[in-house]
Amino acid sequence: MDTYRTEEEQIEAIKRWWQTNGSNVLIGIGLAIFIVVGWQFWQDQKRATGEAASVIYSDLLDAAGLSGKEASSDGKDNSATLVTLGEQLKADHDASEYAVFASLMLAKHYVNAGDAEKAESELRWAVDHNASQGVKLVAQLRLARVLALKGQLDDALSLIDSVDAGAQAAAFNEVKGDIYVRQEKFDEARAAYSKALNSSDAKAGSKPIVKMKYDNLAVVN
Amino acid sequence: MQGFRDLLKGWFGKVLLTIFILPFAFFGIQGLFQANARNDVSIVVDGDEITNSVIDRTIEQQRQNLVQRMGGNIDPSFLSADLLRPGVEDSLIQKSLLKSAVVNEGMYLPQEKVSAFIREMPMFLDEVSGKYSQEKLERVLVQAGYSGQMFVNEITQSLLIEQLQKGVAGSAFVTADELKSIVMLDGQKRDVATLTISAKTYEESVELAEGELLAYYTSHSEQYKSQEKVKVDFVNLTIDDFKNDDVVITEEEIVDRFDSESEALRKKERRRASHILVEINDDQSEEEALEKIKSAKAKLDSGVDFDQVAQEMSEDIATARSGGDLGFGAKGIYDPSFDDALFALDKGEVTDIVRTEFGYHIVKLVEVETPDLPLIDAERGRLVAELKSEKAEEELAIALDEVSRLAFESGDLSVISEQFGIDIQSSDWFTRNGGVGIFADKSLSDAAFSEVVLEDQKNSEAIETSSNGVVVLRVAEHEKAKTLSLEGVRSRVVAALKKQKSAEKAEADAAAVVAAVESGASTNDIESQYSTKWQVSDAVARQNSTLDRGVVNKIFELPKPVEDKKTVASVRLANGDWVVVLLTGVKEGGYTLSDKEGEQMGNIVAGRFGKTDFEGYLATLKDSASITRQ
Repeated sequence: MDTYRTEEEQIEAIKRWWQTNGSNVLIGIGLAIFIVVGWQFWQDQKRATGEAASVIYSDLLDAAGLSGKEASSDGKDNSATLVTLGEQLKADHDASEYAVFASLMLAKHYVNAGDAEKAESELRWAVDHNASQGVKLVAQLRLARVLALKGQLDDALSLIDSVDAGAQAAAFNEVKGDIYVRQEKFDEARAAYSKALNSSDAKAGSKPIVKMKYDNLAVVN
Repeated sequence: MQGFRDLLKGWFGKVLLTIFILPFAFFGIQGLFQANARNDVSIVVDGDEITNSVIDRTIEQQRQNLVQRMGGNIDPSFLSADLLRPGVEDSLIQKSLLKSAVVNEGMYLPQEKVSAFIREMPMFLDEVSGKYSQEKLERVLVQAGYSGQMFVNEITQSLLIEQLQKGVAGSAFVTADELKSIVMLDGQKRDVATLTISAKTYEESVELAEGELLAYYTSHSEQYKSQEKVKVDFVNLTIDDFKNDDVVITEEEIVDRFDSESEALRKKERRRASHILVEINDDQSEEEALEKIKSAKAKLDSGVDFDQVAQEMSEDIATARSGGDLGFGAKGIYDPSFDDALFALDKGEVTDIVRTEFGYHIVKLVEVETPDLPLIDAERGRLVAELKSEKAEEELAIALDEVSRLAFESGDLSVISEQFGIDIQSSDWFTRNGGVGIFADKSLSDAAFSEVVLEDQKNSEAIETSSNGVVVLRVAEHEKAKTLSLEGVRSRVVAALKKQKSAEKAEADAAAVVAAVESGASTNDIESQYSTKWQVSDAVARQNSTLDRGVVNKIFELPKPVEDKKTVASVRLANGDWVVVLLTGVKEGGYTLSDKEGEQMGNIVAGRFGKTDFEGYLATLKDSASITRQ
């Protein structure tokens, strides 16, 4: 290692080092500041939009009568509010999970109002807008049920078959069984219900409706 | 490697170094050194650590909840940590999954919403005004061991989880078709005939061969064992052993005891007093009061009746009119100077002037109510017995040390026996659960079966029993658990085997009936063959509660009869009986709900679907998370 004999030489060495490396150090500092400030700005931004979506969503829960607060007595006004808020969330926060929840709420609203077409398009919106895996599976299953409601039994079946339902397979098998029953394919239906009952994620005792459907299809051996 | 070093020495390295170092200027360095008590970590869910102390705390909370909900009469074994732990772990894992889910889903809650929610929580409302109280919040949080920030975070998390749960479960629906088919299926009714084959009635007719008994006895020998038992030799030193004539009770002791008893009785004496009061207060100075009371005293001294003076001059409005009568009172209830003066009087006497905090009094003793004081000679016998008993107890307590020492030092009981002049006794057989007489005391059987006494053949310690003095014991005979002879347990074997054979016969007969029905035998023939009757139940609903639950379940599990071919099966009841179920008809349920009822039912079914959906969502979260146990 070099040793410097005098102070002047040391200062001279530092100056030389700064001349060759100074600009790089400055670039490094600048870059780091930019990254940190940028990261914090991005976080703040994300929080701000997230909070805005959250506020609209909780108003929407009020309108859907799900907040436990006293809903306004006029049912019609509420459903108009529900649709307005839902559309607003989907338009302004379409990347947010809140928008997916909104479209699920709208789908429920349309099913109850007897409008299967609109319910279908809401559920398709939910499936297409990068919801988390668990939520997406819920939306896909409901979509299959709405297709069945519309009489598109084959479409519903092929949708179900195209999905890897993982831990939620039991629910998919139950709906599959329901569709087979409507197609009067009772053996396939009973097999599907059997899978729903025996999947590892739940005990048969906790699924009385599936058990009832399964038993109803029993045949003499 | 060399290339990498060159790269780091160059401009790129310097930029990199700066990037690494600079964050400390912004975020501080402590984050790197936060020491975690890692050894306490039990489960890690995607990096989120669940510690043993959190698990233990939650188990304790749940235990308290259960006790509160079920009242005191809950079986304590339901509350063991081992039993509660799996459920608690699952719920903590679930909470952890949901905590990170709301972050991953990009869910936020504005600070104002959280504060607004906290302000409405009933536990933070002021008891008096009914309004939110910051002070109460702080008090409650300190008690619960929460910091303000921790609490806000907890509330934020649970509100977000609620939002998530409503998004998934609250949006569930049921379509009209689905509802209709569920309602119709649920309303289905079935016509059946049932035939009960009672295992109990078979027990009478079951015949047992000797060989069968022996075989059953041999294969179930575990059940036919006697309990391990011991006989012990023991010495028992009781109070009575010290209550002999050598214990001298002196006359002085008897008198002392009698006096202190009499004193206690005398304290129960009550005296009826009258008084004349002249108050000292804002309107009347001490001097003025003293003048007045002196004039009252003068009147009394001049022979005026106490009653009359009291009526004229007493300022105690409540008593003046009745001549100052205060009624009966025991010692200690009045002001001390009043008390002393009153209890120094003889009946009918009047005190001098007495000063209390109220003012000046003159007190008269009107009447004395004394409990009957006994005479010492009448009590002597009892006092001697009591004193002897107390002395004996003291001596027994002193002897305990000596007994302990001797029990430890000597190889048998003879030394203790001689020293204290007590006999060595022998017990009857008793088991680990104790025996009769003084051996009903569990501490004695525990000692007899302890390793030192049973295996090492030594004296037990000096055992203080709850009511029978001190015992030292050693084992005289020991009999291990052994298989009992068949003759000794014959009746038990017969009963068990009869039960088993009749259950087997009932099962076989039930199966035979099923086979007979399937091959077309007439139901009447079956009745006469098995001497039992078919019971016809029409239109059995799923909710039927008159038939056994297992029978109803079986009825609805049976295949529907096709054309005229009835379906049949058998089911075992909890009491060992068998029921043959013959399904003769199925009536499909109708859909007769009004719009309003349909809506209500729809909400219930949709709610159930939502619950299933959310459970599915959780299952997927759990599936994709990495959960490790330490």
